[in-house]
Amino acid sequence: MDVPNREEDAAVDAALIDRWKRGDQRAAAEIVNRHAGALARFAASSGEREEVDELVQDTFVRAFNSLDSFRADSSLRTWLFTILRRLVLDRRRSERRRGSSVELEEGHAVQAYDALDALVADETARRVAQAMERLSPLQKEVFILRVTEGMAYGEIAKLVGSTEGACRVHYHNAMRSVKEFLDDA
Amino acid sequence: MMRDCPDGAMRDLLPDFVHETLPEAERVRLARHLAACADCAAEVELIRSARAAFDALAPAVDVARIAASLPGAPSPSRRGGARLAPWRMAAAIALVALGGLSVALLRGVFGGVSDGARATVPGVAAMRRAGPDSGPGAKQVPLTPRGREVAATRPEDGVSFGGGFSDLSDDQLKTLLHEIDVLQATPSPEPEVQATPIIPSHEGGYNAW
Repeated sequence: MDVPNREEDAAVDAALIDRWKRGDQRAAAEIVNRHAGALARFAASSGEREEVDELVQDTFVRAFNSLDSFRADSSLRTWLFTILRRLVLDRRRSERRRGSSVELEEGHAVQAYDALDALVADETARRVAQAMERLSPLQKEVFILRVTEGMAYGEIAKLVGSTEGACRVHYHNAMRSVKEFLDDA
Repeated sequence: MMRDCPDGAMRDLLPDFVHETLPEAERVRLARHLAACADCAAEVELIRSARAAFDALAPAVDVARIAASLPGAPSPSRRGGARLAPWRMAAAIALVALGGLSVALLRGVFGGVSDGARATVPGVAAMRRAGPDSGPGAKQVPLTPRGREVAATRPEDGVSFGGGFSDLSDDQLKTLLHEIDVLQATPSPEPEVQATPIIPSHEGGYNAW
């Protein structure tokens, strides 16, 4: 897969935002096209199974409602992921209040991979996904963002509200935990 | 048994290698390392498997539907610093002119003093009631002597401004003068004379300090 580097990515996003601000609605569709897949992947990997489409849509609607004031001190991608993450957390909090949700606290694995056998054909990939249940929510987030999106630690730190160093530690601890799970299996 | 490569800097770059976001020189250096390091090579495979697993989990997203639900770009008039439309500008000027005209007309009709200016001041009445002379027998003194205003203002309502003292009865005048006498906060009408020491100067004259 041909992935442009991050600076090019940010420049393309900035140009699209500029076009949208000047009234080009097709630029909005291009922005959605560029980021919707990654957002859906992040939501699904974080344990969201239902209404991923709706979550991604809400993310874009919120983003575009304040896109006029968006300043490029962080990348559009990071901003979109931050909005989505907040939506996911809000949804889980409200579900937890209703008593029908998964636990978010440390030590409580998210039981989100029940239908994994049907979804993942590859045996190693299936076991890796199962290994995610052993990770803390923050470890899992950092691991997913680093592995699936190739995000830099600095970008992840902005997104999850932590430090670059802490995210590096979370990633390596998560990787070690996944390896141990695979060795034991 | 999967182990961690002791070269932490190299391990840090493995996800970037998988995502092909490394600069060419770094990519070549890492590729050489991978050829010699079984631990890092295994970790790269693990990252690829994890990525595939998460890709499989993600549902397809209806991009067209999402794009259709988005708000349109803000029009220039919604942004800060936008100019007013000509008709809005004209309406604003007309409104200001109308306001000015109304004030001028009102002043002309009411002779420069509106009814509001003659309004009583309950706070003053309350202050007086709370004063040292405000016993049960204390009499409230309206300071507005003109008959029509006094009639419109009950004594307990307080003081109204405007007019002289010619309409006050003797008793009312006495009470008023007494109240003025007991006021302590009134500044003295006479300026205080400040004693300035006069010191002889070396030149034979005097300097005032």
